[in-house]
Parts: sequence; C-alpha cells; structure tokens
Amino acid sequence: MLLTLGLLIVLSVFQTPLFPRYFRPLQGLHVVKCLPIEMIAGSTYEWVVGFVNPKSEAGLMNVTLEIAEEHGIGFGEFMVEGLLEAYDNPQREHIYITLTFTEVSGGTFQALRTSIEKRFNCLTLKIASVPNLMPGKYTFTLNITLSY
Amino acid sequence: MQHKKMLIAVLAITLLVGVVSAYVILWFGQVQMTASVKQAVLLDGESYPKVIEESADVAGGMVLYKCHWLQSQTSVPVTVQFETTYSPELTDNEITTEILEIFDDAGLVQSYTPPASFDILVPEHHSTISGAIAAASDGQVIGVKEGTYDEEVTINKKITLASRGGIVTITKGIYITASNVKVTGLTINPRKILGEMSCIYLAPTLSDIEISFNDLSRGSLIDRAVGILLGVYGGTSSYTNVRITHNRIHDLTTGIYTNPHSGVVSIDHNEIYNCEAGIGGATVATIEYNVFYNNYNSWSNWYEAIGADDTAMSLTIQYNNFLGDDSVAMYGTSWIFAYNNWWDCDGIDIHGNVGASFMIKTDLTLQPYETDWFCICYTFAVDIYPYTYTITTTVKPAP
Repeated sequence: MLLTLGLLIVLSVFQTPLFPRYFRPLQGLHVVKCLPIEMIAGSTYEWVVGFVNPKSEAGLMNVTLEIAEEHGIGFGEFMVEGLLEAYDNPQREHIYITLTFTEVSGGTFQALRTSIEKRFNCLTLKIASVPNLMPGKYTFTLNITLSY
Repeated sequence: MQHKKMLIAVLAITLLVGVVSAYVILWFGQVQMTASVKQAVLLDGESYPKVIEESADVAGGMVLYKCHWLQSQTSVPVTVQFETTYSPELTDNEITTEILEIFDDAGLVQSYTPPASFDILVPEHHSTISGAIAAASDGQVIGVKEGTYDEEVTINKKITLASRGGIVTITKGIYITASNVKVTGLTINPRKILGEMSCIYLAPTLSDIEISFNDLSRGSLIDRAVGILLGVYGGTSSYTNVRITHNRIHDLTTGIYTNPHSGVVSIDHNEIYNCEAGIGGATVATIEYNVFYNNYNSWSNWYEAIGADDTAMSLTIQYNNFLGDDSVAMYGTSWIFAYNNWWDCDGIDIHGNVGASFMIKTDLTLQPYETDWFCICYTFAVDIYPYTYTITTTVKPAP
C-alpha cells in the first residue's frame, strides 16, 4: 500500500512540469505610443510600451510579438526591431539595449533572454511590413515575460 | 517502521519539489491592438484589387494605348510589377505588351521662387526697368514689383532681372546683348527687335544666359511673333551655357526659334502650346522634359511641336511629352531623331525624315508618396482573329 502511495505521488510529480510556473502581472505595463489604427503596407510604425522591473535585481526578459490576420501570415511579411531604454530613479542614467527579433513562425517574433537591470523600462518596437502585404485587419499581441 | 521512514522520505521529496517550484515565478504582461492595413500602391486612385479590365474590339495589327497612374502611399520605395491576361487567351506571338514612360517631371514642375535678395528695386529705386539697368553694376540683381511696364528693355550688363513675386509684365520685349544674364519670373510680350517681333531676343554671341520661369506670349498683338529668338538667320552665332527652362511659352507664331549657331542650347522643362510651331528652325540644342500641345501649323496643316530643316544638326530631342497630335517635323532631306519621348495615345507623330520612338519604362520603382503616370501599349499581331478581347492587367508591388 505504501509502495502504491509512493508511486502515485512520484507519478503525479513527474506528470506535471518539474518546476511549474507561477505568473504574476508585470508591474506598470502600459502603452506609451499606440500603433496607428490605419497602417499602410510597406511603411514602418512604432509601438512603445513601458513597464517596471518588479525586483531590484537583474532579470531576464523574453519578448514575443504575435501578428495575426484571418488568412494567416507568411514568413518575411513583417520586420521587427526593438530598442529597450532602461533607467533608474533618481540616477536617471539611461541605457539602451537593441533587441534582435527572430521570426520563429509566420508573424511570430521573439527576442529572448535580454538582461534587464534597471527599474524603469521602455520598449520601442519598429514594425515594418512589405509593400505587397495583403490589406486587412491585423492584430498585434505583445507578450513580455520576466524571470529571475 | 520502515514503511513510516519511506513515507516520510517521499513526503520530504515532494515538499522539496514544491519549495523549489515556488521559486520559479514569472512576471508576465500582455498588450494587444488591432490595426487596419491598407495597400501600399493605388492604381488610378482606387484600392485593392488593383486590376485593370478593358474590353476592345480588336482587328489585326491594332495598337492600343491605355494611360494609368500609380500612387504610392508608403514611406519606402515600392517596386511594382504588371501581369496581363487575355480572354480569349492570346499567345506571345499574337500580342505584345509594353509599359511606356510618360514623363511626369516634364513641363514646368516647379513654381517660381524670387531671389532671396535684390540690389536694386523697381520702382522704389528707379521708376523704370531701363533706368535700373542703366544704374546697375555687373552682378547685381534687379527686383521688379508687380505691375505692367510699358517699355523696351535692353539688357547690356551682367545682371539678373527678376520678378519679386506677382505678375510683372513687360509689354515691349527684352533684347539681351550681354553675357551672364538671368531673366526670371516675368511676363513678356513682344516688340520688333532687329526687325524680328520677339518677346526675348538673344544677340548672336552670348554665354551664361538663363531664361527661366517666364510667361511669353503675343499678348494683345495680332502680328506674327516669336517667344525667344536666338541669333540671326544667315549670320554667325555662338552660344555657350544658354539655358531656357521652366517657361510657359504660348500663343505665338513660333515659341522658340534657333538660328544656326555653335554651342549647344539647353531647352528643358518648358510648357509650349498654342503656337504655330513650338520650336522652329531647331538646331544645335538639347530639347528635353518639355510639354508640347496644340501647336498647329496652318501652313503645313499639321500640329508641329518641333520643326527643323536641313540646317539642323546636333539635335537631341528626348524625354518630352508630345500631347495630342503635336509632332516633330523635318522639312529637308536629312534626318533628325526624337527617341524616347511620350507621343500620347494616338501613337508617334512625325513628318518627314524623323526617327522616333516611345520610351519603354524600365524603372518600375515608385518613390515614397510618388505619383507616376504610365501607359500600357498592347500591339496585336496582324493575323490575329478579329474579336472582342478582354484584357486584364494586374498591378501589384513586386514580392
């Protein structure tokens, strides 16, 4: 009986992720500058988002931008560049980190394991599309994850 | 006892795993928005799908010209491409499709901007233009206030004569006898200069002359008159760095007349219309980026943008828009050439020994926010089956 109980516990532990993740809302996340409601294919637009580093220590940031349209998006239809501006208060010493995004699937871009140290962070995304992009309604979803 | 120890061990391991897991906490945030993306290029002002569909009753050997315009809405250069299909289907032997260049940058294009500063003002400093010229030193700029100046003007010094803005009308022509002269922004009507009724007369030997942004016409006169006359017929003339640019030249017998001379005269970006001949006696000149229309020669009974005779030599006629039936004519037996021009949708208009061509459009890139006119030319084979064909042309940014 004890063996069975032990087996059940072990199985339950191994059937769930070894280190299950607990998500907390990212502090102070807000849009500083919106994308325009109407875009023109081929042009470049900026999307600026601010957030606060929740812990006073260095962490790692993963950023994922997902662009979706009902007919689907192919590889290479969008180009994304990122620039993280970070600073502390009251020092106000700003640092700038360029984020390199990789398109992992059509319309999904990732910039992984960017080190963040400062308290206040402002992420500027430059989103460009190809001139022959199919006109339509596109949804842009930006996910930011911090871990320590 | 052993069972109890094992149970405690298992519970301890589970607790440890839980404690470790508790440290794997992520901070997560998401923002989302929706945007409507519009196409980069409009065709004839219309949006997607960018398709031209035309029906034509086609006979063998027929040529169709169809003008359209593209407009870029984006901040980056866009290269477009064309795809054409026919219904019923036609083979490459039965139809040839070419994209022809219309020169959007021909004609006046820019508007007149007065010089930044003036040395002598008319009428403030001198009541007449002639008085101001008499008082001027070489290199000075004379600025003329809006108004009508009923005087015979002769420029015999190295000066600039310019409008300060508004309409400055000189009713009795300008005779230029000095080099290093610029005449700009004026409305000029003709007078008889050396026996020739002309708005501007260039003496036979001059250099560094610019005649720009002027409006030249017969005005209220009913006599035969020339807009700009260069040199003396039968005499010896020489011109170095003479440029006639961005002028509106109209309602004259001949817009510009070039007597035989040495040195190439540049005639560019002018709008020349309602003359009997746009440019007469054309010789030793580069004529490009001009727009010609409605220049009807009642003597020859054809529309004549440019006319030449056997005195013609070193003529370059290119990148001009010859609208309507305006033609290039050769009255003599030698040949002149007018390659790479736009001849409007009625095809190439020439008289006499003139070699001429449209310009095939090779640059299919639109600059940011540029509007570009072009023409699609469909040439049907002589032995094509006569029928009503539907031509569908799709224009889209190149991948």
